[in-house]
Amino acid sequence: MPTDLSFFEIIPIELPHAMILTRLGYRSKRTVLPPRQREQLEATIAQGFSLCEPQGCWQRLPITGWEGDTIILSNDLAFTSRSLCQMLQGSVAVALMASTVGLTIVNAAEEAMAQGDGSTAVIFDAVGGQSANAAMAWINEYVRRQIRRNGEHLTKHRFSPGYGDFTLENQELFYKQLQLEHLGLELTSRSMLVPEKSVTAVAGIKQSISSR
Amino acid sequence: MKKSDFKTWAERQVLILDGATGTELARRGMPAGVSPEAWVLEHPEVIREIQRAYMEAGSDIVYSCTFGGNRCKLEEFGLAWKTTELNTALARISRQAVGNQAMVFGDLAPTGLFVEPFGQLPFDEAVAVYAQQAMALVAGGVDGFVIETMMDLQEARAALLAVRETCDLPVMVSMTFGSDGRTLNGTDPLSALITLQSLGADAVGCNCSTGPEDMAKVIATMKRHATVPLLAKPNAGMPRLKNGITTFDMEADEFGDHMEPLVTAGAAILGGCCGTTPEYIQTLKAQTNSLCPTPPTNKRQTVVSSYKQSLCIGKDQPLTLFGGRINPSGQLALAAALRKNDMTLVRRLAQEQARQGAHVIDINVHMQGGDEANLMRAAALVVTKGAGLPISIDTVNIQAAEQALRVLPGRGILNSVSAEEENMEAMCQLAAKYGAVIVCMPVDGSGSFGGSAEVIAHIKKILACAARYGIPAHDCLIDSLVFTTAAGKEAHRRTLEIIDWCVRSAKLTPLAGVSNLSYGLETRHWLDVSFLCMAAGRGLSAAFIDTSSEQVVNAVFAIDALAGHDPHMSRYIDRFSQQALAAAETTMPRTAGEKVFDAVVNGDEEGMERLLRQALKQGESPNSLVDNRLIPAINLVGEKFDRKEYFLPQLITCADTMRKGFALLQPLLDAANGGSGKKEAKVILATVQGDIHDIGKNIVALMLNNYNFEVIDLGKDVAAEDIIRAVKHHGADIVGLSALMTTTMIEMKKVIDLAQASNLTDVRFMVGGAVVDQHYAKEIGASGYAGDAIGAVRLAQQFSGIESEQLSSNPPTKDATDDQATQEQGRNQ
Repeated sequence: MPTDLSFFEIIPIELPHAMILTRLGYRSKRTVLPPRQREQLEATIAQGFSLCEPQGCWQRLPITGWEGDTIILSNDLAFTSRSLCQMLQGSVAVALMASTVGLTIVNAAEEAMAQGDGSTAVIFDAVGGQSANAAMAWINEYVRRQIRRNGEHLTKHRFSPGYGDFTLENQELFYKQLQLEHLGLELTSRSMLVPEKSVTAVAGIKQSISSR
Repeated sequence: MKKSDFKTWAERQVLILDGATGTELARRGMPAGVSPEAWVLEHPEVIREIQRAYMEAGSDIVYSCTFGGNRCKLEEFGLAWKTTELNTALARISRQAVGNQAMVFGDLAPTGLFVEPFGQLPFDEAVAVYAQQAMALVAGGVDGFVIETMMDLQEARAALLAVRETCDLPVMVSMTFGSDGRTLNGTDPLSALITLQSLGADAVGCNCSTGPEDMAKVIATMKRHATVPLLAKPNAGMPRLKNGITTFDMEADEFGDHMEPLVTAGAAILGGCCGTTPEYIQTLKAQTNSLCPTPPTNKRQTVVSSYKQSLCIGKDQPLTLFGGRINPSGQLALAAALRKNDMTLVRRLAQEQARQGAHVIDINVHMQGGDEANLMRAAALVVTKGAGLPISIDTVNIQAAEQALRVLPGRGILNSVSAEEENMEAMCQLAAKYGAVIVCMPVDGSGSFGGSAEVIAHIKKILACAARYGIPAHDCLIDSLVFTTAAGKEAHRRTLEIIDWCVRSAKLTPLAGVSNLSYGLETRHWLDVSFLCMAAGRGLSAAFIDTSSEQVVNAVFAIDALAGHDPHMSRYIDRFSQQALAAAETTMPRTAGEKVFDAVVNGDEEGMERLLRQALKQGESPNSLVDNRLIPAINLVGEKFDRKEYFLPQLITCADTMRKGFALLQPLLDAANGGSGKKEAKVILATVQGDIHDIGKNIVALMLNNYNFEVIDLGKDVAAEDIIRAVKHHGADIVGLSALMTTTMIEMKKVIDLAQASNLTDVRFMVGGAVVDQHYAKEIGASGYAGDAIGAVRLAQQFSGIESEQLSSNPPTKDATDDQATQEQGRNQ
């Protein structure tokens, strides 16, 4: 089974428009947006999206053992988290995934804020965050389709460092294993990814049994 | 098998492919986790049995068992070194299985890697991977090829080119579309068809992912423009996963019932994918035995494509707009960037033109001393990634044209082919190889353009050359030669005569570089719009325009509506109804003072200064403008935000507008009241140490500023000691702390503890951020918690003893950003 690290230079996501509006607090049945403001909002969203450079990578790692709440992967990698172990129950391997939309959109949001244009800054912030999520969803779907041909499927959910008892410090393991420096990412001493519009996640790979 | 024989065969009868192989191998003992290719080579009798069963069930074509036989996939099992040997042997086994009673098509499938521009695998390396496999399969005696289960159009192109550069055998290409009708990379069926059939595929279609019902829709979409037979190889219904068991929801009989609708939709080649067995193929055969496939279209239509959209160009279509701003001629910044191989500006120009309404992005990177071939290739990839529109490769340099056309994941336009012998032959050959549409430039290199008759002679010469390479006339756009106004009326008349001749006499598709007309002039759009209307009236199909000119783009919408190329005028209405509504908003009768109120509520920052001056001129006092206009307006905005009628960007814009108004009135208020513009209180803001998220804190800073607080923003990742030092230094009254992560929120307590240790007992602390709540605020000894920026302002007003007259007294609610972030706590956002 493949264990190569695969990078995606550009992830062709569609603009996650609805998610961006939701993130900004837009409520379709309540929020009143006059045409001119809507036009301006749409233009800013489009501009922000054009500044996103969705990239990512993923790697398959076999599960080699379990010790209590710790899951042991190949390459001497181990994650300790009860809730993650529960999610991965029955999995034979994991898919480690990372996505980012790059620095340009983050810089543009900061620049807008510095210029006193808070409205543009929050819109760019939302566009960046939701586009990073959309890129992660794309990678998840890509992996799902890749492994289906091997008679395997992905767990319904995925876990990110910081969820429940899967501590943020695990970010460092993702960073090293997925060689995230190739995506231009850095890791702070508090385990945060820079640029901030970046997401890491782990999902389980299970063997399917075909009925036919 | 010859390509022509395959074509005749697929036109005469419905061709039957095989069914699933992987599940059949598993049923016969292939264990999980092995390379099927290697396992089959060790157990050849198993695949022989399966393929014979398919043949006996009615398959005309079986696929060699080489789905994972490219060297990238084999490397996953450490078998890349056996690629040639495995493929040749597996092709021979299939041949032995079916003898001469069925055809064997070599199976090429995804590498598992992504090809540039979407991934890191260089395009020509991908071609080489497939060429190695194709050569080995040819040596094993295959009759043709199938490229299947492709989710990346670029990878499908690489495989198709590899086969074409290896042999002359027929090749079918089959993409896999999801239930949304697109591949994972966003390619729709029509764009896939246009790209692949123009690149030389002998059949195009789809397999896997969905059942036959969804596939009929894909086939019907392709059929309108298919010049090749269409292929459908659906799963046995939709795969469903229940308790780890994959099941397909369709039995053989039901599967068979869907075959006739697939043929009706346009499929000429049918088979089964996941979950199907010889029984399904038998039913399929029985259901289609008496059916005849619909012949491919003979419609003469120019269609180009990118990886995610296709575009029809011609007389019954809306005017096609070419954006021609990626051209270093006269653009010093672009030329400088290109010299440094910096594609940032190329990407931006492509995106801008796409936003402004261009349908095709023209790329010209020619400049003295530039490496045009490499620049063109890089620019084509960047524009593909950035804009996703069809691309026109604008060059006379053969190498540059080939570099770009080879890697373009779509059907491109080669702009241009002149009547100059050498260029004409080479360019037509290139366009034919990559299936590009050409722009005929009716000049011969002599430097003179002559009259209409001479130009028409040049057009005929280019068309004859194109025909020799198999490029039909409808895939040739005719440049009608637009020159600047300085060229005089004869030149313009000639352009219109050429358009007339193209449309009325020769049934060709004219294109005009309308933006050339006003090149170098200060005011361009009137000339461009007028000439565009004149040319469109004669039947112009495509035009280079300056997409940044709203007047020109508006005229195009009007032209399309009047020419009947905008059904029900829906595009026209959609574009202009927004503008009409916006205009209506501003025509309500209001006094200048009321308009100041409206400006805050509507966030009209630009109009504020003008309106304030008008109101002052009409006699309203500065105090009245603040007390009766600005403050009530921002109160209303706060209420609207609380009721979710306004969302975050509106709140901020309105607050900014109010701040601007207040700043303009401040000197007048000071003069009238003898005041000094004193601020309310000093607030220090910081995102705590270790945390790099500061958008929420920045919004709070902005809002507090707007409410006349003096804000000292220390930024993000600020140590507790630095915050306390700043409090002492500035004599701050209030400190606002922000944290997004559970790992960093503990820093808030450190700051508060340090303040107490430093005897800063009068300082009030307010905290906020995605993971913080009222309970935590109390636990760490903070004076208050603010869920959003409005809440922070209310708290600050409360702390500094200001009656909350400037804001409604609703309790603070969490702002939207924080709501979302809470759900995603722990993730870097």
